[in-house]
Formats: sequence, C-alpha cells, structure tokens
Amino acid sequence: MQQAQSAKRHRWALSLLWAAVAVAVATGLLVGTGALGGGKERSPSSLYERTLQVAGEYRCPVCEGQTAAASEAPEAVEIRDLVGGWLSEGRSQAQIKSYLVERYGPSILERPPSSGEGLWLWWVPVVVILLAAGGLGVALHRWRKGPASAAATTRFGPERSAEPATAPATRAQSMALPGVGARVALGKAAVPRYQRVAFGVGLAFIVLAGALWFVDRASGGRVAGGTVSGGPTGIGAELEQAASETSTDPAAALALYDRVLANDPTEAVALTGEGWIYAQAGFAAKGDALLAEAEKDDPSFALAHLYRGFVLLGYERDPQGAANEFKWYLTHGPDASLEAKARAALAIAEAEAGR
Amino acid sequence: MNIALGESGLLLAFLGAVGGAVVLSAGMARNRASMLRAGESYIWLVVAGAVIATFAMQRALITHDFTLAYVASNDSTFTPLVYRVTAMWSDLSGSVLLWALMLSGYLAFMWLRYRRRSQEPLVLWAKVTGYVIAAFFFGLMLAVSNPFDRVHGAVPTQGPGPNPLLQDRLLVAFHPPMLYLGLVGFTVPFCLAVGGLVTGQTKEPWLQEGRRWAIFSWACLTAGLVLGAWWSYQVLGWGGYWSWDPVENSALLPWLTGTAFIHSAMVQSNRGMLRVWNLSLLLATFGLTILGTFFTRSGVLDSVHDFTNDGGVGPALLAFFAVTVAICTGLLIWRGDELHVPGSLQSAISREGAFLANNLLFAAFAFVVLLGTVFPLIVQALNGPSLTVGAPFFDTMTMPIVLCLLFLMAVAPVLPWQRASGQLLRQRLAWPAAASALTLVICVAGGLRGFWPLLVFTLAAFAGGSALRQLWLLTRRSGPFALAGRSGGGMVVHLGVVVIAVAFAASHAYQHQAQLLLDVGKPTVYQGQTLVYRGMRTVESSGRAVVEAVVDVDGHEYFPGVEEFALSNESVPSPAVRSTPALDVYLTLADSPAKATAPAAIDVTTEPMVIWLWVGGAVVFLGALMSLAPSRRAGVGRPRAAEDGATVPIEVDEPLNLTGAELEPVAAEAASGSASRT
Amino acid sequence: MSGGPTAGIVAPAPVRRRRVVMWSAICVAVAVAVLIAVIASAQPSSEVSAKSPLLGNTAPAISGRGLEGGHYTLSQFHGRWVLVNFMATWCTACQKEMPQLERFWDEHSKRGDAVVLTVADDPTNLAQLRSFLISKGAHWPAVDDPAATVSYGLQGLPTSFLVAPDGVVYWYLLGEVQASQLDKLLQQGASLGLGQA
Repeated sequence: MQQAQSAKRHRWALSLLWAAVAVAVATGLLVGTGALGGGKERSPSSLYERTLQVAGEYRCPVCEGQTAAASEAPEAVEIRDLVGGWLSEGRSQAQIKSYLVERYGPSILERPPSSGEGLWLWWVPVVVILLAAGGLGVALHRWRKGPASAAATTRFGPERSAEPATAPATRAQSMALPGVGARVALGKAAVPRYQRVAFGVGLAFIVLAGALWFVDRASGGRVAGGTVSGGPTGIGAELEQAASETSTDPAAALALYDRVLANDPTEAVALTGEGWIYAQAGFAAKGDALLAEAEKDDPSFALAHLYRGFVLLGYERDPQGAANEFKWYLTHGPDASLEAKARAALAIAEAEAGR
Repeated sequence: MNIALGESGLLLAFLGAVGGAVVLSAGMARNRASMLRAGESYIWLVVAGAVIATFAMQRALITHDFTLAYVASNDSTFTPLVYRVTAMWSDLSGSVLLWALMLSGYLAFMWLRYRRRSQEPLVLWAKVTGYVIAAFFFGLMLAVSNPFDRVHGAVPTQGPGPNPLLQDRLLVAFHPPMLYLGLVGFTVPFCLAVGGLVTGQTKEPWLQEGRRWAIFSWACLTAGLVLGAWWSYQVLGWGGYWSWDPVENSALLPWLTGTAFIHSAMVQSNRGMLRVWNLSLLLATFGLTILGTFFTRSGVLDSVHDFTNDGGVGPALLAFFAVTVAICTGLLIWRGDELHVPGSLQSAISREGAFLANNLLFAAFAFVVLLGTVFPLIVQALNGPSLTVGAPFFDTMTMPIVLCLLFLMAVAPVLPWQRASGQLLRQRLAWPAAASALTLVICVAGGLRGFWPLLVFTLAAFAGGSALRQLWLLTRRSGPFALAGRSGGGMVVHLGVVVIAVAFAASHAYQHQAQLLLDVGKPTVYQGQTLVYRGMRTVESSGRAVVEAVVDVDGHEYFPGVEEFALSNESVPSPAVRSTPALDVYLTLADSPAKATAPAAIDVTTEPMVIWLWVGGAVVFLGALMSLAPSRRAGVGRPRAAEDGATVPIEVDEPLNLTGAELEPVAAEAASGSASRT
Repeated sequence: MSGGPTAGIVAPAPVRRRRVVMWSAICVAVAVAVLIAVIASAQPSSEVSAKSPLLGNTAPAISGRGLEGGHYTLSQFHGRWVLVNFMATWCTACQKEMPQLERFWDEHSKRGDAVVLTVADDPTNLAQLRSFLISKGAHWPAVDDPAATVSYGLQGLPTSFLVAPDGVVYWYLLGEVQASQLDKLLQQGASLGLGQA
C-alpha cells in the first residue's frame, strides 16, 4: 500500500517535471527567436559583416575551393570591394546576385540552384531518406509478426543493469523482491586491473596534452628560433649598418656580421662582408673560404662571386679563377652600379691569365 | 645511395606482399602447413621494406639529397629540420609512402595479434587480403608515382622547400600521420570482414574484434579530422575551420560509416541482428577511404587541401576502388543467405530500434555528403552547366540530421534492449530533460538569440545530461575506474561530441567581424576586447621572414602578419589567435602600413567557444581509446571451443537495462551471490 | 542454420532475406559503377573551362590608368578588334603566350584593324607587370582596372576576350592564345560582316 501510494506520487512528480520542461523549452525557443518579445535574432550589423556575409555566398573565381569572403586572391578582394560598395549604395542582394551570375555564370554561387540539375541535388537525398524510413517501417512490421522474442531472450540470457529499478517505473508486475526494496542491490562489480591502468593512462594523456598545448601556445605554434629584430628592418638594418662601417670601423662591422651569423650561419651577405673584411685585413685564405661558403649557401647571391673574384685576383694570385668569378657575376644579374667595375676587372683577369 | 636504398625497400615490400599472397593462397589450396607458415612470414619482408624506404626518404630529406626529384621539389637548405622530416608527406608520392608504412605496421600488428589462430581459414583469407592491399600500394609507388625518382638533368643545389602553407605550423607533423593512422586503420577490420565473408564465419566474436580495430582507427581518424580543422583555422586566415571542402568530405565519409558501424555492431553482439548492416558498413568504410584517397590525389575536384595532381595515381586508385566494390558486393551477394537474422525487433522503441535509426541517419548523412561532393562531376559528365556545391548545401541538408542524431544520443543510452515503455523513458530521461530546459532558460536569459543555435544547445544539453547520467550510474556502481571501460568510454565520447556540437553552433552563430584601422598606441574596443596596435616588426629565420604587427589584446601581445619564404613566390598569411575558454579573437593583418607611424588595418573576428572544439576532439579521442578496454570474456586471441555464439556471455561493464520481466531471475541470482557468468 | 531455440523459424524467411540482400547489393553495385564511370570521365578541375556568359553580349567597359601613364578605355578602340588580355607576372602560362601576343600585335597594329589591351590582374603588382611588359617589348596599352576582373568574370589566368569592332564579345579563351588562331578568328569575323563598326 505504502509502495503504491509513493509510486503514485512519484508518477505525478514525474509528469509535473516533464510538463515544466515542455513549457520551459517552448517558451525559451519562442523568446529566443523573438516571436515572444525579448529581442530578435542578431543579424550582421556592420557593413563589413554584411559584406563578408554576402561575399561568402560566392565562390572565389580563381581559387581552389574558397569563398570570395575567405580568400585573399586579388579577384576575391575585388569582389568584396565591389559588394561592399553596392551594399553601401543600397543595392539589394538580388541585384548583386544577378550582376555576378551574369558575368561568371551560375557556378559562381556557393549555393547550388534549386532548379534544373540542382533539383536532383536537393531532392534526391530527401526522397532516399523517406524511402529508407518507409522501408524500415515495413521491415519493422514484418519482424513484429516474426518469431517470438522469448527465443531471443533465452538465447542471450537475462541481463543485469546498473539502472536503479524503481518499482513503479515498470508495468505493474510483482516487484516483491526479497529484502531489496526499491533498488536491486547488485553489489559492486570488481574493477579489473586493466581498467585502473587505462584510467591512469587517460589521466596522463590529459596532462600531457594540456602541457603540449601550453607549449604550443607559448611558442606561437611555430618552430622555435629566428632572430627577432625589434624595429621594422631587423637583419636588413644590421647588415646595412655593417656595410657602411666596413671601411670606417671594420672591427665593429665584423662584430655586427658575427651577430647576424650567430643566428643564421648561412646568411650569405654577412659571410661575404666578413670574407671581404678578412681579405682586406691580410687573411686572404680565410676571406676566400668565407666567400666560397657564401657562394655555396646562397647561389642566388651574385655579389659573393664578385668579391671572391677581387680576392682571387688581388690576393690569391688566381687570375683564371677570378675571371670565372667575374664571368659568373656578369651573367647572373649584375648590379648596374658595379657592372662597369666588374667588366674592367674581368678584362684585367683575362689578360693576366693569358700571360 | 638513398635512391637505391629506397627503391630496394619498395621492391622488397612489394615482392613480399605479392609473394605472401601467392604462397598463402597456394598453401590454402593445397592445405600445406609449411607453405602457410612461409607465406605468413613474408609480412616481415613487407614491414622491413617499408621501414627501409622510409629511412631512405628521411635520410634524403634531412641531408638535402637533391638527386631525388622528390627532395628537389620539396626541400631546401633553408628548411628547418622539423619541416624537412614532415616534407615526406607534404607531397603526393611521399604521402603514399607514409600510407604504405602505416599499412605495413597495421598488418604486422594484425599478424601478431592472431598468431595463435594463424591456421584458421578466416585469418588466412584476411591475411591474403592484407597482402593484396599492401601489394597495391607498394606497386602504386613502384609503377606510377615513385618517391625515389631521380631528378632529370643536372642535380640542383637548392630546392623550393615544401609548400609554404605546409611549413607554417607544427601541426603538419601531427595531422597527416593521425589522419592516416585512422584511414589506414580501417584496412584491418576490412580484411577480417572479407575473411569472414569468404569463409562464411560472420558471427561473434570476430565482429567484436573488427569493432575494436574499428574503434581505434575511428579514434585516430577523429583526432586527425579535429587536428586538420585546427590547422586550417590557424593557417588559412579566414577564421573558419570547416568548409565542406572535397578533401575534408573525403575524410569525413569513412568517419560517418565507421561511427555507424561501431554502434550497429553493439546490436549484433547483444541480439545477433543487423549482420548485413554491419558488414556493409565495414566494407563501405574501407571503400570510402580509398575513394577519399582518390579525390585527394586525382585533382578532379577543386580543393585548397589537395595534392598537386600526378597523372597516373588517380586512375590507379579509381581502378582499385572499382575492384574493391566489385569484390565486396560480390561477396555480399554470394553470402547473403548466411546473414540470416535469428532474432526480431519487438518494438521500435528499443535500443535496437535506436541503433537502426542511427544507422539510417548516418547513412543519410554519408549519402548527402557524397552526393554533394561528386555532384559537380555528375553534372559535368552530363554536359550540363558547371555547378558549385558549396557550404550552404551541406549546412542545410545536414543540420536536420545532426539535430536528430543529438536527440538520439540522448535517448538511446537509456533505452533498454527489446522494448521500452513510455513510463520508463520518462523516468530515466527526467534529469537530462530538466538539464536541457535549464540550459535553454539560462541561455535565453543571458541574451542569446537565434532559433538554430538555441535548439542545438537544448538538444546538446539533453544528450550531455543523458551521458552524464550514465557515467554517474557507472561510477556509483563500480567506482571512478569504471569510466575507463567500454560503456564509460562510450559515454565520454558522447560528451565530447556534445561539446563539439555546442562549440560549432556557438562559434558560427555568434561570430562578429570587423576591419579595424588601428593607430599606433590608441586603444580600440571591439566586442569587449581592448586592442592596441604597437607597431610592426620583422622576424627572420632560416629561409623565411615574417612581417608582423604587434597587437596588444587585453594585455597580451599577438602578432598577425604575413610570411614570406625565400624560395617561393607565395606569401602566406600568418594569423594570430587569442584563445580563451569563452572567446577566440582572430587577428589577420589586412594591409601592412606604408610607414612605421601609419595606422595598420587589422581584420578582427571574434568567435565564442572555439577552443572547445579542440578540447571536445581530445575528449572524443580519449573516450574512444578508453572504450577499447577488453571484455571479460575470452578474447579472440585465445582459442575458444564454441563459435556459434550460443554462449555469448554478458558484457559485465555495460550498464545493461532492466525491464520488469527480467528482474526476478536476476534478483535471485544476485541474492545467491554469483557475480559473473563468463 | 543453427538449431535450438530458433528451430521454429519458418523456412521461407531465409529465401526472402537472401533476395533482399542480393538485390540491394546489386543496386549498390550498379550505382557505384555509374559513379565510377562519371568520375573516370571527369577532367581534372584545372582543365575544365566553362564558356563565358559574356559571349555575344556587349563587352563590359574597361577604364583605368595606363601602366605607362595616360588613361585608357575600351570604348576608345571602338571600330577595331580588341584582344582584351588579362595577365599577371607570376603566371607562367601568361609569360609563355607573350610571343604570340607580340606577333599578333606586330601584324595588326600595322594594318590598324586590331589592338591588344592588357589588363592587370593584381593591383599590388603593377610595377612588376610594367617592367615585365617593357622587358618583353610589349608596346601595346596596358591598363589597371581591378573592377574589370569581376565585370569580365575572370576565372583564371591567362584569359583573353576578343571584342569585335562593334563592341560585342566575339570569342573567349581561358588559356594561352595562338596568333594564328586569332588571325583566323579575325578573318571569320570579317566574313560575317563584323569588320564595320
């Protein structure tokens, strides 16, 4: 009797809860969509956001699979500029659409058309899903008429559950379980060792992942390293300064080059500068070696060849080698200001080599 | 030397695979144990060949061996070491090498796991299938797209380095390997399924084995997809992370069918039903990985993520796909009668019914994604006007499916097997429903508006509440370690999916964007964030220079900029993101100021809750691995007497559900004190 | 079939079951075969060229600053054939077609019946484009009009539109042009009576 009464109260409480849930959800959704007062759904407010939203409906015409809002290609930027201008003029989205489709054809639209071929695209999945659901319903009906479920039950044995089997929850069957009451005490199942291990591994994974994530955040996600030069020019400025100081204060220039090379030992401009300074200071072999390294590290830096040519011609007494270097320099994009000098030097080197 | 080493490795692996397939088949035909043993040992040749080839390629990349055409077009002396290592999969032929390496690893694992059952016909057929697939991929490299091709003409002294987009973030080291671990991983359950179909053994417990391989691969595939989205988000500069791009869809399709399989297999293990569905889903998943590989490498579809087209790979992969489908459908047609269903569905409102609906929804999802992806090709083939199928189509068509799936995620875990009454559901779902209503009320009271996001939040709270309820019941029964079990892991996965759904909806619906012209030193407030532009700077490192703006957001400095690479024409946008649990502030440098004192144009996008996408992904990954815990019953690794499934023991860890009819016998059993029935 | 509790299952059930499985497998196989056929016949997306919707319509206006100074519009060339050519310096195919454009220009500027009008694709790249054109000896008008890339529906580079003397778009190509091809088109157009304004 007690149980029946508490069961009834329980059922009432449950129904009340569900009713409250239904009311809350309905009200919440209605308010949330503005149907019941309380503010409307936010629509893009600024011109910029509207531009991006409208541009996002069009494909970037020259990209591979990006929208005109997402891409930085010049054509996409142009489309965004035009759309922004039209929207601020007050043109409607339909006008913009007809303009662009007139120029690019319907393939410029991100959203496939609902007519023509597009009809198949939009409706085939719906039809297929309806057919499949119908087929499922038919199969269900046929299965219900099939063999009794008792067979399946005995085949796979009765089941146990972690669910608290509150008596009123099921149909009115005799729930007089000996000494159990409203819950079936199944006893704590022993937790196998592998589960403890797995739990520990999982925790360790979370900690590790968190640590890695923090490291990634801290390093900006990029490979560590790289000279940061405060100021807008950085290495370029240092090299320039060093170059200007080469004749006046070679020691300082050398120090600057060293600093650049400490961060990037393959920086060809610094190697060339250093090589030239050493050569002029009397260490021709070392200068030659540095210039050779500059050539190797950056084959596109033609100036290294010019300086090496000077070193070979003037200090190393290798006119043939020097001539080769000058020839390389002249054929690989000489500087206008140095071209004449290089030609003169080449003539001298060839003359000496011929002797 | 690297070329010779690499080519010999490929050849070794190829011959090992072909030889293994041939010898095993001959051994099976003649029933000779010695031939079978020999054939099985060839897998180690395949593994050795793959490892040697990988070693050769890595050596070539790290030491700048420009005699290889692959290195000459994907490496440079300026490239940092990390990106030299990852350059192996930055381009098409190298990525096939990575695929083949993982495939040989997985196959070796499979060999090891079933070494005690190695004489069984199912395992033998599975091994033959594995050999054939390995032979295809190594043959693909040898014949069509060889990563060890010699460079034509003079050996260059410098190369262009990997694609600039692929040397911008460290994620390039994680996303492709994880993705491939997932995609390639589905090969093993496929082999088992083929073996099962050929030998006619489609019953338990091989299905459970297949399911466990599938769960591991699924976990890796999920992680790969989430990492890919994260990487796109950080690099591509538009503040988005998923654009229904053909390559993205290619990786999503096997994920969808894989998810359906993992759930549907539970029905087979409990009720013996849905065998056709399970096998078809497993076969389809593998087929879709091949189709996806084809789309990514053939160039028939425009994508920002695809590899540069290499003429021969596309047709070869398509042919392989065709052969796979032909064999799979042939096997199903042949063995259809074996997949007889010994039970029946009593009621649609039951867990079986929920899983059936789940299968239907995921199949529909996959169908929509596949149709949308290939539709431009269909139209092209019919000489129609060229069409674009962009994000609006996918968003519109998949939204209702996702909402139904969220609802199902809430209801299915509480549904008992066989049948359920409305009263039972009302009781068990009471707290989750209350939680969802409360969530909605809080959101609306907090000022959030918009039908779709609010609906998603409500349903997600419903599903989350249901998952939490299950976890609570589990821990109450077996302590906190139960979380690391089969069903605990499954509920954790559901929680992760719920988090992802909420984050997805929030970041799309409540996004704000603006282009701000910031003067030096003047604070500007946008969406509650204070931004101060402090000036420009340049960061130079090996082979690259980044021109960055220094922007202070709420006290922390961020550096949106543009990256230029020494050896490439392309400049890559280098966005900066401030990630906090509530909001992501995404900064892009729109225009470098002409002078140091000029204002900078910075594009700002504020998106709420983006970080929870990545956290949710990690939770899903973790939960999936947790649910791999082995069951108490005798595993497949150890030989069993009975195979007919008649004595399938109960999964102890699973919170199976009780209905009135079964209570009495169970209570009696509990009273008598027996705790297991293995 | 297994015995035991399921022995009572009616015999026809398996037959019906097999047919369902077999037929659905066949349907799936056919559908996938069609899909494969469609995919196999597809060209790589980079080679798919759609027809321009501008063909046969009045050519959209072009107007902008010339790269070497001055101001150019499309309408000032009314009465002559105009080859509107979109290009950029980073596009190797554009560089490859330059000799063809030069040949076309040399021939027809003498005759006075056709001109070439290069439109710059990237407004940030003008200096480079100018020096490139100068280095190649391209003496025809080159104009900076970014809006033209949209009004002409540019979908890739190089793109050329052949505009008839009456201002109607006569021909379109996304790809490298050949001078001989252009000559033939001019002859064709003349025979159709398009030589007059």
